[in-house]
Amino acid sequence: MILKLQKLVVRIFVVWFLFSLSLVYGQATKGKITGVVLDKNTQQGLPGANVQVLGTVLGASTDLEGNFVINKIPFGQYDVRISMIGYGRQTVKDVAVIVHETPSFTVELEEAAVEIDPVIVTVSKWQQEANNTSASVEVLTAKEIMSRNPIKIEDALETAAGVQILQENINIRGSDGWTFGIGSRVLVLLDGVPIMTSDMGAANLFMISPADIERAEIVRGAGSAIYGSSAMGGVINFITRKPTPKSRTYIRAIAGIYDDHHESSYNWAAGSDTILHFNRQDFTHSRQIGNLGLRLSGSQSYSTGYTDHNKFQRYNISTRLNYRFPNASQWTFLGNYMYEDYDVFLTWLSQRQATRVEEKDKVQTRTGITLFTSYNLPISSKMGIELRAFLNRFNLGIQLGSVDFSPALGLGGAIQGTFIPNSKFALIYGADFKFDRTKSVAYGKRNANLVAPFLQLDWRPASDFGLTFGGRYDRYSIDPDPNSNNSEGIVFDHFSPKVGFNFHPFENITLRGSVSNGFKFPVIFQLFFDNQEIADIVWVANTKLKSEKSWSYELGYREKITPTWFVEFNAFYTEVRDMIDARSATGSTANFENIGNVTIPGVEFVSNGRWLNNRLGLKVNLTYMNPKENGNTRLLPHRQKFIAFVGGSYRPGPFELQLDYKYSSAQERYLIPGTHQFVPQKVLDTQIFFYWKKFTFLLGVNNIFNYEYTLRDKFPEENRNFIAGVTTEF
Amino acid sequence: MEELLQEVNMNFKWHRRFFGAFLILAITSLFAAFYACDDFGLDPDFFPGIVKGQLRLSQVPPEKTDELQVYLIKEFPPRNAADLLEASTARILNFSREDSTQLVPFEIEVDALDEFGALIAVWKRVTDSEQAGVVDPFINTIGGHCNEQNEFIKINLTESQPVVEGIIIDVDLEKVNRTSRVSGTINFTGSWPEDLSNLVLVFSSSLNINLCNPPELRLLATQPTDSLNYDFPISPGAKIAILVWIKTGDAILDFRLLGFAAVNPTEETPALNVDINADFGTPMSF
Repeated sequence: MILKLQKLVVRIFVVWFLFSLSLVYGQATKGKITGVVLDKNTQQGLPGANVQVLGTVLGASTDLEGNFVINKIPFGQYDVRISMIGYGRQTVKDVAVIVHETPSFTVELEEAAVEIDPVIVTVSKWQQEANNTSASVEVLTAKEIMSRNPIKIEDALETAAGVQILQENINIRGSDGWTFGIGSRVLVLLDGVPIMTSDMGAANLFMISPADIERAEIVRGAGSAIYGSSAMGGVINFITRKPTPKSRTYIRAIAGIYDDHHESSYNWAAGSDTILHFNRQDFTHSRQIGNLGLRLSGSQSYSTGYTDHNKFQRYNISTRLNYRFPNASQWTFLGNYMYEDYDVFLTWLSQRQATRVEEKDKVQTRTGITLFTSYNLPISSKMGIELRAFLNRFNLGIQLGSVDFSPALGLGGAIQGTFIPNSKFALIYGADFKFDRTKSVAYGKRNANLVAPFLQLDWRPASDFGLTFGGRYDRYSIDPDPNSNNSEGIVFDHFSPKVGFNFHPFENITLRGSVSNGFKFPVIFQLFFDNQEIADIVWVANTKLKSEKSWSYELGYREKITPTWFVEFNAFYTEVRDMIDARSATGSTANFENIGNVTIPGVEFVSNGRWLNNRLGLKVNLTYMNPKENGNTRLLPHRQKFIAFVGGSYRPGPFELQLDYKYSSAQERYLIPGTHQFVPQKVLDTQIFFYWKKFTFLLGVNNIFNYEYTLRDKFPEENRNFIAGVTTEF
Repeated sequence: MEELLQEVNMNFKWHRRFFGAFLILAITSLFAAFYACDDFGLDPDFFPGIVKGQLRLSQVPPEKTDELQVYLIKEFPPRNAADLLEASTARILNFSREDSTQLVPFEIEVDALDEFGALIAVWKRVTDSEQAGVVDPFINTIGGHCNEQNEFIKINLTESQPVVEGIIIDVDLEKVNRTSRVSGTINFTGSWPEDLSNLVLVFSSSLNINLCNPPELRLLATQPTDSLNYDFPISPGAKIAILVWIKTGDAILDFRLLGFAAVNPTEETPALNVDINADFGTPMSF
């Protein structure tokens, strides 16, 4: 069946490819647009700015001096959009491409600390303005990410609305609880490529080095209609820095020490000479060699941990290559490698006693490798094709006792077409393929195949009104274990439709809404992990697990109050059927079960603005939700009703002060039954930056009041720590 | 140019004043908000219940003693390791390694008010893991909070009575002073059951097993074989070596008898060689 489906998908693409070629040769009258993009303040050329001819698939990046040329544009009249991370977007209207004339213009972009309406690629897999989508989307820029001085990338994610990190689990609007990351309902992409482990379905954030990230696009709500399983709660796409036309070297070093815990029992190093500390170093260099863009990065991070069993040392190496061919097609290669030694920290028996791990099991190693290549070819001004292939090889399993995992291998590919006949239509279509190969004594040898065609139409019948229709069919087939007589194959399939709208009743106001279907297939770990003991809990397989299915409804209102300040109100309601969750009825055994139906109603407020010539900034995110399973009066385990983030910054002269306050209301249930002390999260971080020439110095205190709290079964969260660092870029 | 510089300078002064005010206001209000609540999160004294008492030692602790532990457990014997994982415990390190008689205080902080089936004292050897395993209470239990009928006294912690004090547990350290050795061969007849989960050799002073002072228990390999060699350290004194098997899914005390033999290691003959005949074909009972 799956082979038939694959053949059908391939046939459809052959027909479509031939059709595309006919369009290419059908267009004979073409011209070009040239221009230069300048920084408004310095009047210097801006290298690396993105120039897009709207209503076509054609675009270019500016060179070292800010110049650009876009060739092969059919004669006609176009709007041209110029955008760059950290700068306000501009659109040049009615540029006429006619015989014997090459239109040329100069655009001055102004630095913008807050991107009110950024250009994004994650919602519909093509470049569009965030304000014109039907989804709730937020962009964290590199500056926002790095200003939180992250040792790990997840340290910066909680500044986004509705996002909370519970160790390996990324929780968007209460979608995920805490399951050691297993079966994540948030899909994490690195440059559009899923970095989910093939066995555990966990987001491998370990691969991501914060200094490599140009921006993170966070899409809240079900994204299964275009991304499939795992995107049920949302999608986070980390977009890495492109190689810059101008040679760029970035070096960063930060270090810090942990204070004593306010809760003295967590002070495992008390009485010894050990000073609990952490440090991180990053190096990035990028440059252009002819048509080849190259970026090389490396980093090292180390922490003694802020409590027992929490030490880690991690190395990341990554590279990105871009090659632009004369026919405007582009080849990209991305390679990431990660190696980490870490202490296994299971849980605390009580607030005064940690679960001990046998000395032989205490230090574990995990490794990961991601290779990704893509080829993007504009077949005509209206049509483009992108071919992608990737390999993920992750070894993240807990290596305790006999629970031994081989690295899980994921081989994938995708073919995607973009058809933009005019500025009113954009049709995105394609198919994703994936082959998973996993092996462990805990679940045998499991191979699986995914094939998933998708289609999405963004239609703007009027300039102030847009509609989105889309759907994706996923078929995931898990083969029987060849080494077991009692093993049977399992097949899951699901079709996820979506419909949405976007309306601008006034110039500065956007109304949007969507109804989308989400789903998540059970992952291999949830289905087959059997008879293994972790932290004295025996995990039992459940091969009868069904897929989770959901319907998400969302309405949003967004108003641009000033050119540098917007507010947004969202109301959302998600209904999940057959939700899969870890359950421990007795405290001695646990498994993954379809626990029944769950509803997550909620409202959200977002405000982000800067005033006084960008010197004063304030970001406020408030999310209220009520995730409950039918018939239960308490919240789902590891969920909160209310989460908030308030971040303020002020920059007089060369100094900048930043204050971040994170709050989440107390949880009501943990996975393991028993008496727990539930307290809210109340954390205040502060940083002072000093900018001098090409250097930035920082001093900071995180968790300034040394507030003691847990978000997971008796795991203490990070206590007060002092940090210092320096960054330079040249 | 001078005008521009003046303007920049004024702007900077103005911002500096604004910045100062912003800084003072922000920090003052945040400190005020936090300290007014006097809220530091988790309460270090969050223990709704406490059980206090003393261990009464009547022997010098064996040389390999690492520490003594007291477990307040819902059910004894524990159904599995998680019962022990969830049990509230006290670790006792402040005992004398030289005195033959001593009273050592213990205090258990209990996470949840509940009724508990047993309070047991466990000996921890230097090389043992920090947390007792599921068979450790049988191997290393040195006493319990019991009545005269050798039954565990239940401890009920309620809101009206969250603290129980004055408990004295007599501990038997002779049992873990394993200076003797018993070895031999177990000869099997009959076919091995498919649902066998554990094969256990129990060293008990009588056939009537007393849970308040449980027998020593050793696990054996479960691969079907005709004969199996064993070699275990045990404490001196007359005992019965009882070979039992446990069916998959059964509790640890629901064992089925396979065979037994008398052993009596003494100071003079610390190492004994005792063979045991075991028959899967003929059900036996005490």
